[in-house]
Amino acid sequence: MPAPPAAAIESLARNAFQSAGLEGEHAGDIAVAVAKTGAQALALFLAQAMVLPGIPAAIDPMSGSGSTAGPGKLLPPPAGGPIAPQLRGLALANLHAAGIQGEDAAALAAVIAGAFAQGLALFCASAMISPGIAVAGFVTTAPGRLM
Amino acid sequence: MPAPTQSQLGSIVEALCQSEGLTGEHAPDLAEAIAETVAGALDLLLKQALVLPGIAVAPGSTAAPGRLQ
Repeated sequence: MPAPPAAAIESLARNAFQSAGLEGEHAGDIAVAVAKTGAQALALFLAQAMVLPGIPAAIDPMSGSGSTAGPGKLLPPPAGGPIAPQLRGLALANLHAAGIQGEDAAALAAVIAGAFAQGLALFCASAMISPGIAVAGFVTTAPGRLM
Repeated sequence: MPAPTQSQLGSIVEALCQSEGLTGEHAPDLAEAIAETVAGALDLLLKQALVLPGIAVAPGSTAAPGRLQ
């Protein structure tokens, strides 16, 4: 499953901007830039993300079959995901592409980049890999889910 | 454990706005909207991302890192 697409995040962003009462002429453009940056940040995260070893597993020592028996953790950024400086250029390019060129564009790009970077760092600290991943022949044989 | 929530992210984004000098009258609304978007995107990620199979397992625990997709 690829990262959530920009269109899905754009819908979230448009709703969020509207419900926050942001209705100026550039609100929609900024929402689009936030959504595009978010989609890129999540794609970068999925490319870098790493499930840490050490997930408890209950397996038969002879056949190597069983399943994981406890939750797993994600490696945090910077090794396990993008950090703000990596996202800042993307955010600024997306703002420029959306027609946001004013003097505050760079500051806004830094805020958007920092928001996604810190959000992903929190995500790594809180999300866990659900137990119950099937194991056969000493290797997991089914996809796992996050929780 | 859920993905980070809008309320968790709201104060973080407000602090980012202040540190970047975005202090206009709409800055709090902007921070709220960005925080809500980030929270929603991370919730989608939590629901959609999968841990790829193929992680080596030794008796007792996994013995190698895994990847997401």
